[in-house]
Amino acid sequence: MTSREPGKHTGAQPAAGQPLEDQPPDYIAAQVERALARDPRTHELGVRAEVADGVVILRGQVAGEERRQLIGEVARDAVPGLAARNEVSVTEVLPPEPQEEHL
Amino acid sequence: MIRVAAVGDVHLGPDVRGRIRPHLSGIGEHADVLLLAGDLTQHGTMDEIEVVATEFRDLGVPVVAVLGNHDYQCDMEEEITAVLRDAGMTVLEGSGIVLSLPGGRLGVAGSKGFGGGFPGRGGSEFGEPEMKAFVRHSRRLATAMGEALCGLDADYRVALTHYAPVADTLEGEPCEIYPFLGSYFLAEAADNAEADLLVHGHAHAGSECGKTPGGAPVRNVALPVLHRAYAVYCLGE
Repeated sequence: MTSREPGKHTGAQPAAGQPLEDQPPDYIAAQVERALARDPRTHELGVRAEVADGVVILRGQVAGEERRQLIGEVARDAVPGLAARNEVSVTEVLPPEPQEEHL
Repeated sequence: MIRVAAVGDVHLGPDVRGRIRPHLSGIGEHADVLLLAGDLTQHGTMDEIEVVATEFRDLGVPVVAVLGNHDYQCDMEEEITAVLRDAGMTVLEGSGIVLSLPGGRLGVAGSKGFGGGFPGRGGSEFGEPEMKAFVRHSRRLATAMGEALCGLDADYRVALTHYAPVADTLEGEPCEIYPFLGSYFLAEAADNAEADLLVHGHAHAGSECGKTPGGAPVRNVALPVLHRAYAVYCLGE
């Protein structure tokens, strides 16, 4: 367990309004994923966020280019103080394969 | 032999209209039925489901669907179901249908299904009411689907769900989220009904092939897994 600075906790209210970008990377990533799921522009559960060296990296697949761009937009709105790298791709839809599988 | 085409997680909407339809022409030459494994829309809205109806209507083969969690987002699942039925599709939830096809009678029972996890790594109906409700919802949907499947007088039985019935087909997804991706209740219900095939979606980063503890084949047909408009699985000789 990490030792804490003596006398740090004074019983006062926690510091309000701490910028999200100053929080641990895992919390930032979780906040971005929550925004992607809840924001009506995206409602996206299949994109994973990772924070590395102060950059939010987005990975996953979506159905179209407009949605791919909205993913980046919502992520940037969720953490305006950090850069976002959008590595989300658009799912390919190839013709069905001529060979069927026999079960 | 019955040829079962299937795809799920097409997440259609006005912005991606016409994405699948070009690949569906002539589907009757390759398959006897098309199963849709939920998440037909992204937001569960009426304008999106109209796109789905246009995309999958008048294919020349029966279309049987279940809804997915995305299709429930706007609490319009009943209206969505009505639009699909008006377009000639069958929508299942704790219910089944028997289709008389050239290769025999195909029974399909379906449910959206739900999460809860897999043996040894799942939730229990214990403790807080929220936890009990979560697991109970999953169990009830699976039980209803299993009863529907058992009641089908058919040569082959298929269980169609959105959530995954086994962990095999989740390989590729982070294992921490498995309990949100499916429930073994679905596999157990299908095994008890001696299902010949289980088809599901939901796990975009999962893998296509698996099997139930009872040995029935399981196929994850999520579009991001297949990367093709549909897969075809053949039952019987």
